[in-house]
Amino acid sequence: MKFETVKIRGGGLLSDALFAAGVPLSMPCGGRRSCGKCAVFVSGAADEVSEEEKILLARLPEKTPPAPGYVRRLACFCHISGEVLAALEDDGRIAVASPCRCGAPSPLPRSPAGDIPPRPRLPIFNLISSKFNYDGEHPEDFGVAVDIGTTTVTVIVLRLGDGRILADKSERNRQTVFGADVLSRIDAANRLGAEPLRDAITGQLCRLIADALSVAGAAPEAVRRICVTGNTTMLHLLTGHSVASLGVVPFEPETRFGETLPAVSLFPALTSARLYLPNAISAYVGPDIVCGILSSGLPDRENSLLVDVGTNGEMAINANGCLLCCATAAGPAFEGAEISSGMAALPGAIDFVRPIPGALRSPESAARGTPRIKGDYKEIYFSTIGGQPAVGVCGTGLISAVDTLLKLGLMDETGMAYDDELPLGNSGISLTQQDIRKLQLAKSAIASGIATLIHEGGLPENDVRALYLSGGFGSYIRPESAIGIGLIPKTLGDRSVSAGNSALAGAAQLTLNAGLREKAVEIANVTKEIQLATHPFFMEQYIENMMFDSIHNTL
Amino acid sequence: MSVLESLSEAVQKGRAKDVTALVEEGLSEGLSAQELLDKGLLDGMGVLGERFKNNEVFVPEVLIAARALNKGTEILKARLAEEGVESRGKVVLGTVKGDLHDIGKNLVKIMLEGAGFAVIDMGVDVSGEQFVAAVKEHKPDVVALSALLTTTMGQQGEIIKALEDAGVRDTVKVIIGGAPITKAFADQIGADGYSADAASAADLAKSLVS
Repeated sequence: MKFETVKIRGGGLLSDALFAAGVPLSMPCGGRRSCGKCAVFVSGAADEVSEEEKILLARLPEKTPPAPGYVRRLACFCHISGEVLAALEDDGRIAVASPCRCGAPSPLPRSPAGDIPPRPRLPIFNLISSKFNYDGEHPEDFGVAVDIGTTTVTVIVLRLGDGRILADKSERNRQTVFGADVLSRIDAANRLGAEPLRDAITGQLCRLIADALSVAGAAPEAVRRICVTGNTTMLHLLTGHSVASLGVVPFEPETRFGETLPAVSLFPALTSARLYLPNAISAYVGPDIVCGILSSGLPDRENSLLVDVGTNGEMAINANGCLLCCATAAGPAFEGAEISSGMAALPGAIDFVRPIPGALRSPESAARGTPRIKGDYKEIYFSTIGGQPAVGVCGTGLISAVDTLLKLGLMDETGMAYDDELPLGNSGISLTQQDIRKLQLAKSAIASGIATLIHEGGLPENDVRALYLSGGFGSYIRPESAIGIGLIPKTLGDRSVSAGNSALAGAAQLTLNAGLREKAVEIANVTKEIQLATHPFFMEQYIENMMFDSIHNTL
Repeated sequence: MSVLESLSEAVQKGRAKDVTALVEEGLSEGLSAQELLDKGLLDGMGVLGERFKNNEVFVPEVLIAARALNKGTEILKARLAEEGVESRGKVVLGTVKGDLHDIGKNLVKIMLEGAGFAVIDMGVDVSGEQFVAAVKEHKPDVVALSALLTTTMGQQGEIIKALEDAGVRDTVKVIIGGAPITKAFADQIGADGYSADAASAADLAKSLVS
């Protein structure tokens, strides 16, 4: 285990001091002292470990301190008074960047017969059609498109004249120190004020944009346009609008955006650029899904579904020409957070798992709940990103791992594992029962959202022509694994298409062609939101889809 | 293993099909609906509730077990009415005004029903007036208020005031819960009890009505 050691001086909570020092420590519960995930090794002027902290620390897997004299602490409990050395585990969970590569569109890989093919180099966007000619002056100048995800932030630099992507940068959203999901961010803004959250994201974006521009060889003053998309909460926090009303009924956003501002108000280096913020549909269906609907061409693709498999789980359907959308809180499990060995899709992340050939004596037996023959963990084969030694598991790895455990009869259809530790072959990485439970909540949220949209659209499931899977993680999902765990309906497996980062693609289109803004406004106006929190059908589905042999799969 | 023990275990494991089969088997063996409910279904839910309280199991297990339990109670419903079974007490439950969170509230409902209470579920975003009306209509033993946000927890105090103003506060015990809620907050707003999780809520309700 590698450590990144930082020297900190100050008083008060270690988590506050680390944050003030710009050290991105993940705090999934937002500092509520409930998750026990913000563990660091500390040496120096720290207080005594409290009983409450001891209980949470005892649940963590054992780790060897980086050097003698270091004590393991939770940053949300530990008070410091003076100078301390804090050693953070550098395992990809700290400065996380998800891979986001440029290249030619490629189809999703299908079931591998023998060896697992290397992770495909997917393009940032798949569905964007090539012709979005720049509509303005200075075609030799540059545009910037940004997608602020709850968990992952991505920035690209485009040449305006030909729309080519010259650089892309991606990192874990620095606001994750304030909590893993949208609601915990709103709660943090209510408790601490919105400024720390705003500063975190603007600071991060300024740095990422500067980095990307330097890779692209572009001067900041040569940037003419920037479009920033993201969910409604992320854009409220960025622009300094109050998020208080986003957290309470009737969940009204303070603004629905759709405006153009001088970019310099948020990004001081971009002195010549105009900033465009696309329209939101509602408090929970944001500019990101509007951009996704735009770039995927959903309004013209009848009976198709667009699902952004991310923390906020936004999705939309074109049902007989009507656009419906919803947001379902999946949580960050798919992005590698809140999973014991979870990490982003970086080199060394297990990205695909399957039984070794011939291991499946009765592939369907686990799913049917009939008496099963328990398999062996040795029958699990895995691959990692870059072929590096395994250091953790990313979202696609997690889904295929659980699919494999089910197929090998190492867990049952209710999600109960037969052992405490579930080693993934000889990778040295294991899943735990609780990891499976976290995945269960996330997959049920997405599966039930899909079912509710299809239901509300009045479509028989068989009439859905295409399922566009989007998002940094969603694009890489293998349909067979997703079906295996009941994340997507079985009938849609061979109709699923990887859509890349559809939100970012939309932002790129809006950067190049201002004429499309009208279309984005129209999408925001005509798309009807389905409220899931109070939807009885959704609630019913949410419980059903907890099962790994959900009704979807028996249809 | 007896039918009742198997039934309890099937509920804990969330095996809905096994629950259905075991309830039928129990009935054909001549067990009463009351026995199958108390010593089979509710026993299983009670064991699971205890494990939930101890952080040994999590939300998905409870939802899956509740799904299995419901399959059993559906079969038993008519028989229970015939046998004239009484509930342990009545609870009016809801998430307070301004708050739409229902998963925690639903878990509390499952646990209360598992402990033998009749639960009137008011849903989410429920105002003081609605709680007052429900108390007058259903005459419950307990009113249970859920709030998941720091911005909505204050409503719990407002609802207690509304019950006072309507002159029905003394007819019920008020219990509160939710992520931001503490014992100190419960004392401050004059609630009769506070529980940290869904399983303890059922224990709390039991202790207050006995």
